[in-house]
Amino acid sequence: MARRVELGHVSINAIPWGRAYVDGQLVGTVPLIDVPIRPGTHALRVEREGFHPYERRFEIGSGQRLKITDIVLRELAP
Amino acid sequence: MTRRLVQLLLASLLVLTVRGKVAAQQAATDLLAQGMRAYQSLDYDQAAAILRRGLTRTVGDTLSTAERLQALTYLGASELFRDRRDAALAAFRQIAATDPRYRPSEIIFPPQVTGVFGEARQQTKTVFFQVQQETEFRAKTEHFTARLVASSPHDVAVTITTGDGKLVRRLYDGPIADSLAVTWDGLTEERNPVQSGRYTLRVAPRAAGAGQLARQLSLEILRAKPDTQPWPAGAGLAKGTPLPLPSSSSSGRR
Repeated sequence: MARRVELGHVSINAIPWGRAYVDGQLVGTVPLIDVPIRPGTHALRVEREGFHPYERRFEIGSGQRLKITDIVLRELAP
Repeated sequence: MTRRLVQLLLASLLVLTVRGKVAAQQAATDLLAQGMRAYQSLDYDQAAAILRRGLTRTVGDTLSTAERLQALTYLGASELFRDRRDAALAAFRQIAATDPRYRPSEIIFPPQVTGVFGEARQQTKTVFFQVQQETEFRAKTEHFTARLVASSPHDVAVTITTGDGKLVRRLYDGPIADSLAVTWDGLTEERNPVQSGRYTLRVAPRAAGAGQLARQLSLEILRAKPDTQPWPAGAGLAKGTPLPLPSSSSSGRR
């Protein structure tokens, strides 16, 4: 019998606001709330013109709700 | 002995009062900081509740104008992300009615927030005065100038009235875009120099409705005594020189 896998949900915010990608796929502009996502390890990237992109990996479990809100993008040197 | 005890009690009450006030002042800015943190953490319900608490304080410690505008911006953004668009518009309209030049940071707030803010600003029709605290001019040949800054383009009627509302002079009737300089030569509609007294510079939107706010500025006119030297021929000033002195800041009528 197959075990039912429940999706996790990730919420993302950043200063400044920017576009968020999970595993290379654009998921939207932050703030993002409760984006459904398969359990496992994922790559998050937030980018905004004029700023260094932010990248990190995160792990999310089945049915877990995760918040990543401490993202700060550093400005590119002029 | 009793007197000494009363003095001590008064002294400790004074200390307690002073300490209480300092603590309250910290609480006002703390509420703003907490609300901003809650917004960043995506706790929009909490952010809105905390920011409202800070904004509704009317006694003791209150937020400065700059802090208030910041709190209203975070409140409007929080309400927007709570799917309460009307509440967001209401918060943003308060900003537009307070400072027409204010814009939310485009670094912090995403386009959906700045877009709704722009909508609220367009809906708010009011002006703000930029005038010198004191101006001296010769009636008829010189002018008193007031710069009007608009929250958004609209049509206005600018008048000078007496303190009890009687029309003295129509100064301007037409559109205002970003800003407009209106001048007054100190004369009435009949082209006579006004008497000393309190007058009102009033700017009213020509269309009535929600978001249309009239503004008025009280002017204290002092006519200088006639110079002992005779006026040159053709100067056209018979009795003296009106000096409009803005005696209070602008006040809105809603």
